[in-house]
Amino acid sequence: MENKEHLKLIVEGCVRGERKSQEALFKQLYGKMLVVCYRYINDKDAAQDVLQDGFIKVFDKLGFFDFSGSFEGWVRRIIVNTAIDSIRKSKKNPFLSDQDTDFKQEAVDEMVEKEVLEFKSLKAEVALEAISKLSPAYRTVFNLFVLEDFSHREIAEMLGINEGTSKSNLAKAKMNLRRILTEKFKYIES
Amino acid sequence: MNKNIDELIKSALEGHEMPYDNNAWNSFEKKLNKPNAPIKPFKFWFFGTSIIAVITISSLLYFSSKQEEKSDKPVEQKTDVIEKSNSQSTTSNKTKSEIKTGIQDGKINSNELEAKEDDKKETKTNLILPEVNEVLVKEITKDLKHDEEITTPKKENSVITKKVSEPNVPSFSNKCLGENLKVINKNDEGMTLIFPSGKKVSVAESATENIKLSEEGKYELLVNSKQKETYNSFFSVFENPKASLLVDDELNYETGLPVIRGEVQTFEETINWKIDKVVSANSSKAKTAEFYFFEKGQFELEVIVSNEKGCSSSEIKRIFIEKDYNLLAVNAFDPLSDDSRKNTFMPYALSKRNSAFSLIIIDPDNGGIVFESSDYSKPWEGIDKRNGKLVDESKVYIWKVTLASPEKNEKSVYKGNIIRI
Repeated sequence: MENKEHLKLIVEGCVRGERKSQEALFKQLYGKMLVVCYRYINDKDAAQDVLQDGFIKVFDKLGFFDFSGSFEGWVRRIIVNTAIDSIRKSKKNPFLSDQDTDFKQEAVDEMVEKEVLEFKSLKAEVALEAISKLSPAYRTVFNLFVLEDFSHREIAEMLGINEGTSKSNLAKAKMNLRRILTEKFKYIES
Repeated sequence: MNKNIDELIKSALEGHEMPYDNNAWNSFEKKLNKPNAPIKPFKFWFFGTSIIAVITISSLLYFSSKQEEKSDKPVEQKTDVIEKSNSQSTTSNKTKSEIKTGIQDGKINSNELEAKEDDKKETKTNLILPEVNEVLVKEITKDLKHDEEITTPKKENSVITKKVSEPNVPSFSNKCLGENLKVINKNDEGMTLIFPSGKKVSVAESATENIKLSEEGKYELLVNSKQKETYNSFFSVFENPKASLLVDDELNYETGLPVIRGEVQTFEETINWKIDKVVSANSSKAKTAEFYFFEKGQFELEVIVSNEKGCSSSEIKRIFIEKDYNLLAVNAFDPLSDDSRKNTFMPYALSKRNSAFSLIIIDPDNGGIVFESSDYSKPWEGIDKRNGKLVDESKVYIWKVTLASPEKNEKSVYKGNIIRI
């Protein structure tokens, strides 16, 4: 839960264009929003750029925030949209299918699945690294479906793909994540 | 069910923050100062419009003051002009702010949709909230009520009771479309459930409401609190998977067994087949499933399809089986016929099934065994083994087959009549 009054003060300061308030807001949300960017864009510099562009949009639209819902959620949404826009700009049809041939594998390997299921927990850094190894198409659908809780229909609308593609990209994303994580853990053990 | 990859990653990233980079603000500030920052064009437009407005109003006032000058005392002209110019500047300032508001209004109007859309989307983005199941929620609210009961008498004398007045917001796990949500409001204030479309349903103080979740997307449950904190929780409602079930119209005996095949057409991977008393012939998790119907009757075949969000839908088809399965045996044969299909007796299913068996033909008059075989390539040719002669015409004999390895839930002994014609 956010302290509404404190937040209101900062937001109002930002709307008036006060640098101190903008800085406070930026610093408060930086860490969380950088994770969001980094989940979508695997290049650290590019993720920072997206974060900055996102924050500019946040400051631009801040006057419209009416405090009825979660502020962090509102900011996150803008950041996610900015990240998706940036991926969209970088390639022609990044969401349509897999661009990364490294991870093309047709069938799910049951052994791999079992091995990963044995892990009880995962470090955030490891999870992020695994996500960063996915192709943009897989990564985006995985992020939106699993971490942002959108439905396939919504994802299809957002990315301009069909529901079937969204579902198959999700399945492939999971399959690749399993493999990436299993390989990683094998390496650590040996 | 199991800790799958999504849960694993989701829990790993929950609440995770990257460390703050000390240069981050400075480099962002530079970007913020750049003229192509999106705020600028708006400012220029606003600035330009303001100047035009100032000029227009100034000239209007100037001309009007000139008119006044003509009619009024010429001596006071100077001060009047000064006063006017003062009022001019205040008026223009006022107008400026009016224009500013106007422009902002304009922007709000033109962006209203966008803003609303953002609101709508915003409710969708609020992530990973602690999921508490409803039972737990009830417990919490019960506890809270208990606390209130204890502290109520104190209220008059002490200030400590304030602590208890913190509203309680039930958290809900994600739901499926069409489900009913039971909201128990134990608070002193009302609560509002905001649907993804923005539709609002109120739950009065200390009331319980059953609310049908008729929209897909993010919902927000909010306490209408006057306190400075926001007391809310979020949950998502997901669509139910689409599934269409196709079932064979009649039994298929290709393997000598009475099979009906069902096929579900769906995008989802989690499939469960259900049917009473009937044994599934193969993996009941696949998109196609086969079932053995050994007995006649009416059955309901149900398939339940679940998606990754835990929402499921089911389809039911009725199946009528007209007669009991009896190894597809005929009840008459003609040993003297030239037609090899009907001059011997052997229940047809035994030629197809992979089960060892023993067949005996019994004389109903005395219970004597007329014929024995355990090889489907050696059918009964109508000879009574006791005397080596062809059995009598039009006489009914009894056949009995014992299966060495019947299917699960299948009986091992089958019986029937056979008549020589």
